Amino acid sequence: MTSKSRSLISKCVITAFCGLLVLVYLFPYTWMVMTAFRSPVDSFERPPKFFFQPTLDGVRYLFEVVEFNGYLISSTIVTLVTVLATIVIAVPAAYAVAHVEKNSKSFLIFILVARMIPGIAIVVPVYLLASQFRLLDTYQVLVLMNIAFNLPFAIWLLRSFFIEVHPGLREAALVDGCSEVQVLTLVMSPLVLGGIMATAVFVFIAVWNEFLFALVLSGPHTATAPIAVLGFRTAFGIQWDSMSAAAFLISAPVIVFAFIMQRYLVQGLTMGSIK
Amino acid sequence: MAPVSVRSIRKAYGSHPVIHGVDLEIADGEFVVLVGPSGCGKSTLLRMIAGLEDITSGAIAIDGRVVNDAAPRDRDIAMVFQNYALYPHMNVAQNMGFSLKLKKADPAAITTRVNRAADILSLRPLLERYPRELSGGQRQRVAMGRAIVRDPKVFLFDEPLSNLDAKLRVGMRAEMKSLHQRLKTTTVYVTHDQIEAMTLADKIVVMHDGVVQQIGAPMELYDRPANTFVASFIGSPSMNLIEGVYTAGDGEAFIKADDGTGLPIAGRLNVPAGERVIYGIRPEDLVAGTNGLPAEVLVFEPTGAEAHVIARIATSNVVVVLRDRRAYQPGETIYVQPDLSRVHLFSKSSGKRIG
Repeated sequence: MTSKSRSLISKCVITAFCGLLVLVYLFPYTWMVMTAFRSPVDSFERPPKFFFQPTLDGVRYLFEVVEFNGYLISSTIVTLVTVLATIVIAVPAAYAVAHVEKNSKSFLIFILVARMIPGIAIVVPVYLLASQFRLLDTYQVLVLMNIAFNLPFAIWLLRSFFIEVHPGLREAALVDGCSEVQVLTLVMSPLVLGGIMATAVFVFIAVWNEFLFALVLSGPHTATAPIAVLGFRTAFGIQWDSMSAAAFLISAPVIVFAFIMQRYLVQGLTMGSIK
Repeated sequence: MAPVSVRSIRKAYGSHPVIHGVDLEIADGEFVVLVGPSGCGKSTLLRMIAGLEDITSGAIAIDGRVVNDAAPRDRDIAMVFQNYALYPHMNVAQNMGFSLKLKKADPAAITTRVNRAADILSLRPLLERYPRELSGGQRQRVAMGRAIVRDPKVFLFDEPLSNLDAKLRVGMRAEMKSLHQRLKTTTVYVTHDQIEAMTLADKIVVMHDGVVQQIGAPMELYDRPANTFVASFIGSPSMNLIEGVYTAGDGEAFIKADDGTGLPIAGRLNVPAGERVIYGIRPEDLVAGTNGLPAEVLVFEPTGAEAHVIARIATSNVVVVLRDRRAYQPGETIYVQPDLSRVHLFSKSSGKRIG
């Protein structure tokens, strides 16, 4: 066998493997989207139906009966406030640990501890505390818990972006007449804008999908969209069409957001690996 | 413009001292160069003047005001960094006008001052460009422009030419000197290149291991180095140093090298006979002729205008600078006569100048 035909074969194998991977990842999602726009009767056809008459019944039920928009509004409020607050706190913190305070290692390890404890381990004490302070079913407690869980990650990720900026720029800015806050806002932040965006996207995805704290701490007024999905499992069966429609509507903003921010996401994931 | 006064400055990182008490007075408008090998503390001293490093003890005063606890922005200084530290997201004009913008200066005044600085440094056509679109020499100019736009009390330069190629460096060096002659701003300049120090400075401060070795005008340091470190650091090729014993009997005094060769000196020294000393003579002060000290040629290096001959006198290798345009062969013996008025003598034990 010549080396040319051998490389052709290896290319074919790799392409087939990649195709398989795409199928494995995309098929469940595609199936879910199809279920969302298929009547329950079509959904249970054997063999499965790939071509069908699309219907909006599931979506209609979602908004008319379940009042899904209320859940979406809760999710939006919790997510936006958390992302904003996390970035506002994490950016100066990351700048400080990267450039200002040289002995920041113990602080960095300290904040990582918050991330190492699984949510399930603290959810009961948090529930009891929230109940004591009459914070159950409020946006405050959801936002607070989401900030607490995402802040360490945000600081760590942002720090890696800030460290890439040459320390001489901070010194030049200080000599030029900047205060530390001005160094951060006028010199550093514009240079790590991509990193800030990437961090915001990661936090957005994490908070938008957050389930455990929302399940335990929210109530009728503040339940977020992922909680709504649970409601389609009733004593009479599972409402596959509405559940899929809800899942589709929950995932759509994340996918759109991730798609738009793709460039920054890749930059965030590969930070430091390429020079 | 302002005088700068450095009094008993010490710096330690934890328990590790790096600067052991430096005193330095810089007059208004003076160009002072701090020079020394890597790790001698010169950059740390400059950064302390700038306010970028804490002072462990001592005081720094700019224009009569002690600035130990003042933030860099409250010191009215401008600094040019080795890597230029230009803001990548600002164009040349914005980089140069940044400090004035921070002071909330009138935009028209900023433009005027940026343009004036740009004219001085021939940066006019580059004002709209970003740092990534500039060559090393142009970036260096912008960094200088950023400093002069501010019209500060003191300029601080931290090895500003070391990232440039040799030819550009010589050009920029001359430009910096003419700039200083024009602006007459007090300048503190750090370099490890003794030629830069010699050509630019009104006053040179030679540092080694956190201690000032000598402070003086360039030619003063060249002609009367205070110790063997300054003697070997200032001058290129550096001074020849030969160890020997001070020998003074009834006749002429001389230095007896370890192999018995007598190295002539001009008069008597103020040390007891038998004292171990170091005999220093600059390469250009050894004159080749038909008599004098025999020297065996080891290497012959023509450089164009002159030739460097590395030869062995007594048991030491010495450099002789010759301008006679003759090629010398390795192994050949030449005779060199030291210019006695330019012989430097140092104590072997302390390294200090004794004659």
